[in-house]
Amino acid sequence: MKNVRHYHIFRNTGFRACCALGVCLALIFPSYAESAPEKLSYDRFTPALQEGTSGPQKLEGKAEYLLNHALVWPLDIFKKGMDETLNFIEHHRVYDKLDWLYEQFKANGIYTKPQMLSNLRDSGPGAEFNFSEMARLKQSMPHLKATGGIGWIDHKYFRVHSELGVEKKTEVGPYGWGVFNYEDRPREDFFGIGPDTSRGDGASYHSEITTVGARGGYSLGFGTDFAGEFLYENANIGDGKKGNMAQIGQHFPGQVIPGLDGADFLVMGAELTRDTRDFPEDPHKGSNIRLYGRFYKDVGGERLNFMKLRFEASKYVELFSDRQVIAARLVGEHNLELGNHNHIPFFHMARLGGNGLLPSLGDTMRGYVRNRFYADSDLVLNFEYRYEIWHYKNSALDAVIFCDEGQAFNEIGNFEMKDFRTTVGGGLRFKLRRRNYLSFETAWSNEGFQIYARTTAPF
Amino acid sequence: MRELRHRFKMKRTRFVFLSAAFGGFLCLAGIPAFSAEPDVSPKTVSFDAEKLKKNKTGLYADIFDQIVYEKGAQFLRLGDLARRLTGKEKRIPARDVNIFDEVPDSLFFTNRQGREPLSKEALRDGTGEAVPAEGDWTVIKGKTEGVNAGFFIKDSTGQKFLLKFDPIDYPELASASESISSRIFYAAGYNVPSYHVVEFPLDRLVPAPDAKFFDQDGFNKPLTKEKIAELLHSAGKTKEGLYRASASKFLKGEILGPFSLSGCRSEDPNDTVPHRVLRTVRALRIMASWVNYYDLRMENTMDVLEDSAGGKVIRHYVYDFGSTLGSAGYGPKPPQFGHEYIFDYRDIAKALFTLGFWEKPWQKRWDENKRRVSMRSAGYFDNLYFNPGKWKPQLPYDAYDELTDADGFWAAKIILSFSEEDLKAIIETGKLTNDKVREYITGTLLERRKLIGEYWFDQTAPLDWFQIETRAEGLTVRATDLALYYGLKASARYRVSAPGFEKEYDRPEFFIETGKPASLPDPLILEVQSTRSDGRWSKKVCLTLARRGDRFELSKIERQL
Repeated sequence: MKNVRHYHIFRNTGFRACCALGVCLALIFPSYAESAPEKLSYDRFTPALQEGTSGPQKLEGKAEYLLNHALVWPLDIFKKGMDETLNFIEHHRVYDKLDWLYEQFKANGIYTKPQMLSNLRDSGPGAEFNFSEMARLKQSMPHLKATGGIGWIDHKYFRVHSELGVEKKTEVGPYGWGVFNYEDRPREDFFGIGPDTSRGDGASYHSEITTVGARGGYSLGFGTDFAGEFLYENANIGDGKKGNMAQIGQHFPGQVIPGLDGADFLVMGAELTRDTRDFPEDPHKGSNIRLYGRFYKDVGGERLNFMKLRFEASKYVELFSDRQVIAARLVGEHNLELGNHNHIPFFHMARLGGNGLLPSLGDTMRGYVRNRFYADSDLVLNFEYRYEIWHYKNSALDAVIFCDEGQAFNEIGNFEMKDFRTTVGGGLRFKLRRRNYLSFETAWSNEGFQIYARTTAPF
Repeated sequence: MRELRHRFKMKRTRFVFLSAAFGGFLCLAGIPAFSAEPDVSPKTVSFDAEKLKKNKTGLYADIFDQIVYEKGAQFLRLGDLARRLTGKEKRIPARDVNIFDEVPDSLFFTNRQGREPLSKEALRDGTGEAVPAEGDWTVIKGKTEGVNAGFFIKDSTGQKFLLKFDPIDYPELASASESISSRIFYAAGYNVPSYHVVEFPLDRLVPAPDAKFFDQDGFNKPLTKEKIAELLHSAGKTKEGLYRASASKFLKGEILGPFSLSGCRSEDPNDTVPHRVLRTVRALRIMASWVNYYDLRMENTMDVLEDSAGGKVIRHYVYDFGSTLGSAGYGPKPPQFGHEYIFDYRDIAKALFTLGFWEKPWQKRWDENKRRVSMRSAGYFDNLYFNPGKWKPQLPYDAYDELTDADGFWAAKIILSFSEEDLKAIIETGKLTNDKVREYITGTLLERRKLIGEYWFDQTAPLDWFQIETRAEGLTVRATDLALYYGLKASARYRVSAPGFEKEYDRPEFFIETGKPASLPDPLILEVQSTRSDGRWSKKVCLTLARRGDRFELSKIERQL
C-alpha cells in the first residue's frame, strides 16, 4: 500500500518535474558547503612531522643566538634570585604577615608616617601615636584625645608633637586640646626677600621652633568647623648646616633680614574650615576651604608684631567620568606688620616653591626649589588634571598634568599680573584603596626642573 | 728556537684553555639552536623521580618575569631588537605539527573533539574520574593558593580531592565555571584534572588531627571543626543549605610543578622542543579566549610523572579553571581582564598620551554594563567588544605572542567543532540552578565561538579536509571551506596557482586541467587562496601532491604563517 502511494505521487508530479526540482535544490544548497566531510584518504593525525621540524632545526643561528642572549645571561642570575624571593614571599604569605603586623601596630595606636621633604633622598621615618588606644582607654573614654608623633629626616628635619584633650566624635559638637610641638630644621634655604631674588644668592639657616598652647573649636556639621588657638612660640634662628651654601648671617646682614635673631611670640588665631571632599587623600568631588587669621605678639621686644591672614580653597570636579578629575587650588597669604617700626620675621613670611606639604613648607610652586621666594604676601593658583591610566582591583595609577601660577610680593600695591611665575609639569601617582602611596612628579620653570617623589599629593 | 717553541707552547695552551672555556660556556648556556629532534610520539623512560627538577612559580614571580624582566630583557636581545626595528620579525612555525598541519597526539595534547565529535556522554564525563565517595571527608589541610576558601580532602575510599567553594555573594559561579571550562579544554584535547560540582552538608568535613591552614594573617594554624565552619561563612550554599564546591581529584603520579610556557624540560627526552614553538601551547591563548580563561599562566600548568607502559612519562596538564567564563574565583571577573594584561605598557602609554580621553574597550564595556553584574551566577561574561585577535590573558607570554595564523586556524577549527548541543551537554555539568544563567552562558559561548571562527578563519584560507582525484584530463582537488561549512560566510572565491597555472573558482573544488596527469611535475605544489571578508586574497595554503603510481596523493599541507 505504501509503495503504491509513493508510485502515485511520483507519477502525478512527473519525473521531469522531480529532476528539475532536484537540480534547483542542488544549485540553491550546494552540497559542498553544508555536508559533513567525506572520509579522507589520508590520516590527518599521523605522527609524521613536517619536514622542516623533523630534523635538528635552529630557532636562531649561532650569531643571532649570541646576540640575543649575551647581554641577558648576567641578568638571568638576578631573575632567578628575584623569582626565589618572590616565591618565598608568596608561599609563606609574607605580605599577609606584614599586613597583620601593621594592623597590630594600628590596634595599639601606632601608625607609620614616613616623612618626605621633596624626594626619596630627603625622606625619613615617622610615626603617629594614639596614646588612648595604647592605654586601652578608647572604650571607656571615647572622646579622649591623647596623641603624639615623631618624624625625622637625616640632617634636615626633626619634629615631635603631642596633643591632649577632647576630640570630636560626632558631626556637631565642641572639641579642644592642649598642644606641644617642636620642629627643628637645620638646613633651610633662604634666597632673600621679595619676588626678584636670585637663586644664586642662596644662604642656609637653622630654625628651631617650639610651640605650646591650646586649640579648640566647634564642629558645625556638614564638614564645617570653627576653631581658635592660643599659643606660645619660641623661634631660634641660627646658621644653617648646609655645606655648599653661605650662612644666612654672613650673606644677608642682620638689619635687612628681620627675625634673624629669633623671637618669642604669643599667638592668637581663629580658623574656619569647610571640607566636603569625598576622599580626603584622593578627592574626586567636593571642596576644601580654609580661612585663618593669626595675630603674633612679639614678647621678646624685637618689634616683630604682625598679623597673618591666609586663605586656601581647593575644588575637585570629575570631567567626563570618575577617571578624569580636575583639581584646582587657590592660596593667598598676607602678612601685615602691626604698628610702626614693626617687621614680619622672615621665617614666618609667605613662602613659595617646592611641592608643599609637611607642616609649614612653602606653597606649591613645583618648578622652583623649596622655599625659593619669601615675601610679605603670596598668591598661588595650582591647577591639576588627574586621569587614570591603569587600574587593577583596588589599586590604580593616575597620571597628572599640572600648572602652578604664583607670585610673592611685599606690598599689595606692587601686585601685578605680569609678575606671575609659571611652572608646568606632570607625574604619576600610585594609589591603593584611594589613598596615595607613591607619587613621582617633575616640573619645569624658568629656573630649570625639579623632580619629586612623595607619598602624598600636594592638595 | 727555544724561545719560538716556548711561544708556540704558550699559544697552544692558551688556545686549549680558550676553546675549553668557550665550549663550557656554550654547554652551560644550553644553546637551543642545536636542540634535539622533536618527537611527539611519547617514549616511556625510566626516570629517577628524585633527580627530576620540581619547578616552582607563583603569581608574584610570574608577574615579575613577564611584566618586568621579559619586557626589559627584550631591549637587550640585540638580534630580535634589530629585527623588530627593521621590520623583519620572523615568525617561527610550530614544531609539533604533522605533514597535514595537524597536531598529532602527544604528552601535551590528545585529539578528541577535533578528530571526531564526542558523544554527549563523553563530553559530560570529561576525564571520566569519579566524584568523592559518600561518607566522611577528612580534611588534610587548607588550600594554600588563591583567595577563596578551599580544602584538601581524602574521601572514605582514600582518594584525594581539592574542594574549592563559591563566593557567598556569587553562588554557583566558580564551581560551575570550573566544571564547564575544564570539560571544554579536555574535549578539545588538553590534559586536565577532573572537576565535579559537589554539594554536601558541613558535618561531612572532618579535620584530620594534624590538618593546618593559612589564616588571613598568613600564619599556619591548626584546622579544627569550628575553624572549618568559620572559614565557610564566606562560602556559597544551595537552597537546601548544603555547601557547594568544585571537587578536583588529585592526579595520579608525582607532581613536578608547572611547565615552562617558553622553554622545555631538559631532563625529559619527550620534551625537547621549546614550548613557545608548540602549537598546543601557543593555541592555549585561543582556547582561553573562548572560555575567558584570563588566568592561564605558568602557575596553572603542571607536569606530572606518570606510569606508562612499563616506564614513566611526564604528562603536561592545564588546571585551575575557577577563573574562567565570568568568574575570577573570588567573585566576578574584573572588567579589564581579557582586554589588557595585568600591567599593560601599551595600553598605559596610550592612556597616558591621550590624556585619559581614550576610553579603553573594557572601560566602555564596564560603563555600558552600568558597572554591575546582572546575573550573579554568571559573573562578568559577555561579548561586548570581544575581539578574538586582541584578547589578552593576565600575563604576556612569548608563546601566546608568537602564535601564527596557522596555529589560530587550527585552534579555531577545534572550537568550531563544538556544536550547540555539545555545549549544552557540557554546561549541564555546571549544575546551574537558574535556567536563564544556563542559557546565557550557552548563548555567550556560542556567540564567542562564532566570533573566534570569523576572525581566525579570515586570517588564512579556511580550507580543510582536502580530497584529491586524479582523472584522465587532470586533477580535481576538493576541499571544505570551514567558514561556509559552519555558516560564518555565505560565499567565497578561490584562487589556485601552480607552476604555469593560475585560475579562480567559485567553489572549493578545483579542477586542474593539464591534458595528461603524467605531464604534471612531481611533486606538484598548489597554492590556494580564498577571499577574506574584506574582499582581499587570504594567506596561502600550500598543498604538496606526490605521484603514487598513476595517481596523485596529498603528501603535505602547509599554511602561510
